[in-house]
Amino acid sequence: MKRLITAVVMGLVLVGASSASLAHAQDNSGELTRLSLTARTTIVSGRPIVMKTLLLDLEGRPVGGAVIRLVATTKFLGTERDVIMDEAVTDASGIGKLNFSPTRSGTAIVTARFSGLATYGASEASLTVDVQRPVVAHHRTHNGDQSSWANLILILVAGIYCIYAMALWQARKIFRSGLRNENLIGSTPLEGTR
Amino acid sequence: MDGNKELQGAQRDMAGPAVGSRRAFLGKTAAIAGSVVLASQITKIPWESAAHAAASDPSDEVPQWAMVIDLARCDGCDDCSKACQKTHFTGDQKWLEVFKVHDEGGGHYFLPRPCMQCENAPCENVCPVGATFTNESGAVLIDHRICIGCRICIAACPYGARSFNWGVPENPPGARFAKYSPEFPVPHRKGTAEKCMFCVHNTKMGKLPACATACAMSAIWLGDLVQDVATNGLETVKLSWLLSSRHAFRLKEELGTRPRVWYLPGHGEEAKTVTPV
Amino acid sequence: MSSATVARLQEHIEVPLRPRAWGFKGRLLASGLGLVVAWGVFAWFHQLDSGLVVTGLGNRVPWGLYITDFVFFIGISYAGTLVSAILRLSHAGWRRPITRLAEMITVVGLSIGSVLIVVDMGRPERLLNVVRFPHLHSPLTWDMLAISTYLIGSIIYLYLPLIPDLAVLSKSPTLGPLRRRVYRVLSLRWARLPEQRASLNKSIAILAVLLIPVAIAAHTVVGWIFGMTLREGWDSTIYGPYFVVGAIFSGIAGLIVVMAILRRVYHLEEFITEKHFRYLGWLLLVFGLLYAYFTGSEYLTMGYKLNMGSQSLLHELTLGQYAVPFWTFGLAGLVVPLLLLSFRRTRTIKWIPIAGALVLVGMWCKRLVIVVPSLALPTMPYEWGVYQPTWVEWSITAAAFAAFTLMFMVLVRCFPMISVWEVDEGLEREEGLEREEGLEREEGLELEPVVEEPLGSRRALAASGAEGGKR
Repeated sequence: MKRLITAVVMGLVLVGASSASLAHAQDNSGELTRLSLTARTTIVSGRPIVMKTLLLDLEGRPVGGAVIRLVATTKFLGTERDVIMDEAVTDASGIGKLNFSPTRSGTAIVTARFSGLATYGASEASLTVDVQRPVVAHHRTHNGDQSSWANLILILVAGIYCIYAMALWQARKIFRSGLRNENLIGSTPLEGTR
Repeated sequence: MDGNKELQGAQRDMAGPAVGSRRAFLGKTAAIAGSVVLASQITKIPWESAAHAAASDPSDEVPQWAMVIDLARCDGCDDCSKACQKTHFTGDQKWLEVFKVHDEGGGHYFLPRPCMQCENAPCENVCPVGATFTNESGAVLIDHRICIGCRICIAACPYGARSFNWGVPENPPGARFAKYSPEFPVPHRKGTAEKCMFCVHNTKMGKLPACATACAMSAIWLGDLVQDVATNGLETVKLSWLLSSRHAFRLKEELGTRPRVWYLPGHGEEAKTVTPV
Repeated sequence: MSSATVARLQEHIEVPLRPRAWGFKGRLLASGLGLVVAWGVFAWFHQLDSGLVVTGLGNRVPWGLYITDFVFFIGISYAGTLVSAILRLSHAGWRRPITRLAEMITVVGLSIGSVLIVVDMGRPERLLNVVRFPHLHSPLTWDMLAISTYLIGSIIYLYLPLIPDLAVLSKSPTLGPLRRRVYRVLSLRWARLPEQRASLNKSIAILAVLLIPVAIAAHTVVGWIFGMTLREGWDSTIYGPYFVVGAIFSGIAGLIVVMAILRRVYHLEEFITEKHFRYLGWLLLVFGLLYAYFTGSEYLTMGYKLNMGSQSLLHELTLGQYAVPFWTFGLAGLVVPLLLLSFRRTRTIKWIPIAGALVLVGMWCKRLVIVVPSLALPTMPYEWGVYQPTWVEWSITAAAFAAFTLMFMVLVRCFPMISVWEVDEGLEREEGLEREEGLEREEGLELEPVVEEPLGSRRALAASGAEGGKR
């Protein structure tokens, strides 16, 4: 009887709907549980939104203290992976709150997963979310550019060498006037004469 | 005395050309100044791009690598360190070191220390030839074709993460024929500095760093700050959630180096419970 | 100018200050030093072949004796700028006999320091990469720029005041023809013409003014090689000025020691007198106190705050591994010389060079204590690094000191070690003053001071050393 119900419900998979979806999971070992996931399905700002999950057993009683994980699929390092987005523990009324902050625009399928607890079986619920504006990518800081102040150093050094050149120019003047003097006198001049 | 007077007169006559030579001198100074200005413009050319690929602005798709190390899971087995040595043929040099840290009140834990790939890397700042540079993914690499072996980078690193090829490095036979690149610096060169580079040669092909793959406790995560994801090979999680829920910290954060390696605090308590891969 | 002064000028060159060939002892010393240098070169070739693994350096302590020697030699080269440039600009006449010595120390010290940097490099053949791929962000780039600029400036500054002396030397009949020809070419046809003297004075003045900030910049950036890192003990905001003060301090000490040695060997008692030692002794005292102030400030600030690394560092410095060099610096290199210089009884021509020598030893130890302990201090949870210098490093250190002495000997053999024309200029001005005072007394008139070509503008009655270089 239970298997029949499960088979019927498994056929109802909602894609691109704007309302909550329910799914039952087959679990042989424990009592069946029902997990529901509700949230806004159109995210405009890219800030984290809170998704609410409700975990009930088949009689409709809330299951508290259960760990629920929010999983989305992302391509990382070349492969599609299930990424654990957030984790929450349900309170006494079976409610858990999960944060979802997407990093890419487009449609994303998020799944809330309960992997089982003591006598309770696992269950999960999915939701399709439409992200209209992506989160700002991590701002990369690059340190390697030579800022213009560093070029001032080169200008300063070039200036110093210019002044060296000025001093050496004076030396050249010494040479030139000495040469002229010798040509005038026609002999090597004596030192110390004036 | 008369000869002196004659000399003096001649000297006075020679004062004439001084004016013309001063003009020539001023002209020369102007030329020098002009070339200085030109030189300053030339220096704006990023010469470093001659040495290696110039870093360009990252698009959304370019990952920004980060690493997360779970100290609750690390049992100090040193497999990560050995795997790194083996993969990169570093011989006895350790790019990733595992330290045993003693708490003040007793007890200890193990701290694996790779290169922090700092966003404000002191090693990159002080390198006189720009051999240490940051690639577009935030990994800090070394171009061993330029490194002059001055070792100021080793002096500047506050984490002691850099090593130096003091002698002729052992390059196994296969290594000699490897095509060198800063991303996989094999063969090693004598007299140059080296360090962990986050295995960018692996990550650009979708593989995890050697240390992360080798860790039996799955304690090392590789993350992307852009996509906000991290994986340790087993699980993939949202990076910021992992960091905040486990209260991650960075080493020597107060120094302002902005490292890319986070640690999840712990004392190896989970090393016993995590099923080895 | 009177013929008497001309004769005296000749006398100065010909008799005591003419560069002489080495005697037997000189040749012996030169050979010995040459051997030490050759041994150091051999050690360096060994290092080039096998790599820096032949040294005691390691990943924990990547810098050691080579960098210590480098900072030491760059440090003592401040002598030239201080004495030659600063004293010239302040018209302190007593500097005249010692300017050339000071300039020589600067040139030789900077040259040796630059060679030591290349010795320390892991890939010295790539030295030009600093020019090809300069990273202006790096303190080492600033260092190479500053020191090369300082060295070139110092060479020019040594050469320019040499020109008049070279002109006289080129006439000296006792020297060989080739040598005289070289001197003549280098002397740029100097003939003591007024416009030549004007040009010379102008060029010297330009350089004197320029070299002071260049020297300050050069020593500041050497300090910033350490000060711009995050290492405990180096991470200090005063490292730039600290190194400048240290350089002036050790530079004066170096000058005193060189002066004392050369004075004894070459019998320069006439020119370099007690007065020079006393004045330099005062300067050494002042800068020693200043250096003690900076050093005390450093260690006291560290010792008060006692953050994690500082505690360990200070312990090792005062009581641990590095206690010997630390206290050698503190006591033998600072306290003892300052005491010697403070008391009149020991501020004599005998004790001041001893104080200078002690300072030099202490400052070498201080440089060692700056470089190594901060590197050996663990940055991560491991043990203190150990540094044991090997024979290669000691050999190269010894060769550096030997090369310094040898280069000096060669320089002194080629060029007069005292700037004769400047000394003579000082004498002329004194004579002029005496003459006018004599005339004044005779005639009761106030005469215009005799106008001799000065260096820059001058006040005729300013403190020109009355005793320095007299007769």
